[in-house]
Amino acid sequence: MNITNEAKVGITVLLAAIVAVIGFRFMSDIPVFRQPMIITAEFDRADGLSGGSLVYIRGVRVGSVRNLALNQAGRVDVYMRIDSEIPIPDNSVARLTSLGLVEGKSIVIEPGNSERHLINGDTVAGIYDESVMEFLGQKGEELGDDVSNAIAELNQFFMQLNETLNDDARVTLDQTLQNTMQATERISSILTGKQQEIGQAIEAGSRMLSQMDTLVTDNRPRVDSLMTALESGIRDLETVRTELEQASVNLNEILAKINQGEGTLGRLLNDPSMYENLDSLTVELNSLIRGINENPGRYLRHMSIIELF
Amino acid sequence: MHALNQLGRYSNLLYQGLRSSTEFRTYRKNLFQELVKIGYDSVPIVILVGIFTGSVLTIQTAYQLESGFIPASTIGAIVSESILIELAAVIPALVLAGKVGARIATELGNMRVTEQIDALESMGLNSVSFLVVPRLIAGIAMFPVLYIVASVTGVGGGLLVGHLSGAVPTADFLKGARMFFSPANLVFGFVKSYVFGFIITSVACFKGYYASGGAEGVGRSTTEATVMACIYVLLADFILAALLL
Amino acid sequence: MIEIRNLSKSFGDMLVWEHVNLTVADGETLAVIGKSGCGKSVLLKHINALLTPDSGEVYIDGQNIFNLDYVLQRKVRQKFGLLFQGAALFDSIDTFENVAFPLRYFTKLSEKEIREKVMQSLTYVNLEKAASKMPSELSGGMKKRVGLARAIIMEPKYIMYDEPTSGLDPQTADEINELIIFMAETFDVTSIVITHDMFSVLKVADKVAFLNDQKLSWFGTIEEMRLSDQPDLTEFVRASEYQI
Repeated sequence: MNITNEAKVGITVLLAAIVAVIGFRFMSDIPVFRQPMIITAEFDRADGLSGGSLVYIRGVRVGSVRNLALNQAGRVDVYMRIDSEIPIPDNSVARLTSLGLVEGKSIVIEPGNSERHLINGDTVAGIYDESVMEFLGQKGEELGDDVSNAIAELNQFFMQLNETLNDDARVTLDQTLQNTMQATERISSILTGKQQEIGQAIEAGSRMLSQMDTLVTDNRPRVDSLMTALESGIRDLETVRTELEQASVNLNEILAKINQGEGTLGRLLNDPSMYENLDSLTVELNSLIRGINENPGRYLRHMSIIELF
Repeated sequence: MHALNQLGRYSNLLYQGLRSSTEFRTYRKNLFQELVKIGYDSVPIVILVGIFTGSVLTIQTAYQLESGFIPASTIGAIVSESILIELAAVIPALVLAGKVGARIATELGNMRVTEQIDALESMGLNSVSFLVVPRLIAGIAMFPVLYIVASVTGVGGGLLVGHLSGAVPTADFLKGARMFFSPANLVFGFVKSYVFGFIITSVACFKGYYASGGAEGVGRSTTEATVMACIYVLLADFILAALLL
Repeated sequence: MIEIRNLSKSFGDMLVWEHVNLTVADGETLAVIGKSGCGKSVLLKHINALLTPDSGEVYIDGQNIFNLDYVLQRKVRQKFGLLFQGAALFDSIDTFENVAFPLRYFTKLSEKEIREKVMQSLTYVNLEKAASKMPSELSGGMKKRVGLARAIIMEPKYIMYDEPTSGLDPQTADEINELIIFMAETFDVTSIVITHDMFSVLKVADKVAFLNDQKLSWFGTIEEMRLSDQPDLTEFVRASEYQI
């Protein structure tokens, strides 16, 4: 024998390897069964998809994405290897979606109702689903619009309020005032007619007052404490006013900040129309507050019943 | 106590083998000799074993499933799966435990009792590296190759006998065989064949290397090597099935 | 120089010998005698660390071989040529390859140099014609001579003979004895001969060590042995002489 041991080993191993490879291919590479079917799906875009991404039908894995490429039309052709033997109707739709919040993209084939089935090399329509994050982004924009609208309406309301107070209400208030004056005159004439009785009444009142005086003198401490309580009440009112003022200042600051802000919120609030709305609202508010500050009586005089006496 | 002692000596031999496996120069020549003796020379018997295993399995499965309700492809599935998972690894292993195991145990046992191992050592040669390591490597390297041979001839034999006897049409046999064919089963078969190759050669080396008591002792070692190798192969088969399936 | 100090060995419960002290000077030929099964071969296998003792040391040229790791032990072993009782030829290769075996593994000689050396060695033992024979085709005496040719091929400093004449006819045995003397004189080697053949001892040895009763019973020169009146020694020697 002039075949060396090395050669014998080499022959044995090589033949075994060849036989193994052929056998393996023979057993797994079959025309009828398990032949991988390649199907193309065309998408507008395929963000997040890659070779190896899985393909599902009703939650069952049926294959995987082989590769993706841009086509002539500028859309994305996704080539899928379908291992399943189950026939797929040819009007099925491939939906590019993400099954979970953090998982990558996958393709879900939604079987159609056609009698005819997809064969190797067929193309199906692709739908690109937005992911949850993209959905949230869109919702955020809508929300911004809503807020903008709400503020505009509010603004209008305040403007109307201001107008009411400036014109119509003033007239109404004036009328009320005149009515009151007429009533006072009438009371005056009545008083003149009934002078005697009034004199008696005053006498009685005087008596009553002196009695009240003694009463008040006797109850001095209680009246004092009543006065103190009233005073503190007025102080509290003062504090509330200061706080309101402070709140107004803060609001101004916040608005200023938001005005300069960035990101989604910034975009949201930098919307010029909204800014203008807010601005005019602020101006209106300011003028309203200034009006009250400068001439409180203008708004409050007619309501003050104490001045009647 | 005796068993523990044996286990200790066996482990020590393997440890020495592992340690001296770097002395490639010492065993290079023997390695190729053993690769030929364990691999190349065993191919005919493994082909024979494979064909007969597949044939018998096909005929008997067909006989047992002869009810008319069960499709003929089931026979193909059963035969090919049984061969790939179990029989192509185990049956050649049992046959080779006799052929290879007995030869190794006799060779080493004879070298031990005629002081040839001492002669190697006295020359300053590492006898474990020279004798045990090449046999272990050859066993581990060649049994998977023989598994391939047995798998192909086994499935082929089953297919052929199914066709010749008319029990299973070729198309049905292939349909069933392909339906359940999975690479995982092949991996399982390969793991088994590695383990069996290791068991048979290491047990035979151990029994032969530590043989004593002249010609009779060599005979005893050979018998023990064969029997123990068979038992451990079956045991390992069970453990692997429990672990991997 | 080989020094054995306080060496003891037992296999399991069975004591082979204990407290053996022995020194072999360079150029000497030591014969180790004793009854069959008294542990002569066991002693020999301790000298090149084929076996490990229970206690004691063996110094080869001042080095305690049991303190060396396996790799260095193997270096020390290469100082020894060992002729085994059954010659221990590798029966899968022919005579030539048997003798060439150590050269192939431990030298980088060319094929031509190997051939020259092997044929030279085979010539020493008068077997140059048997170079291509397999060990199974050789007679007992020829096997021993091939074994000897293999033992000297690496030009060892020490040669140890394990029962070199046992199982041989007297004429062949004498040829072996002549070879032992020839090797000792030609290569100036130190020899240790294990034997129970007193004829061989008287012919080749300078010193004699007598193993008996699980110890080194007697140690001295041939002349001292002739004059010794130690009962077990004289008994052993006389029994051997009657055998002739």
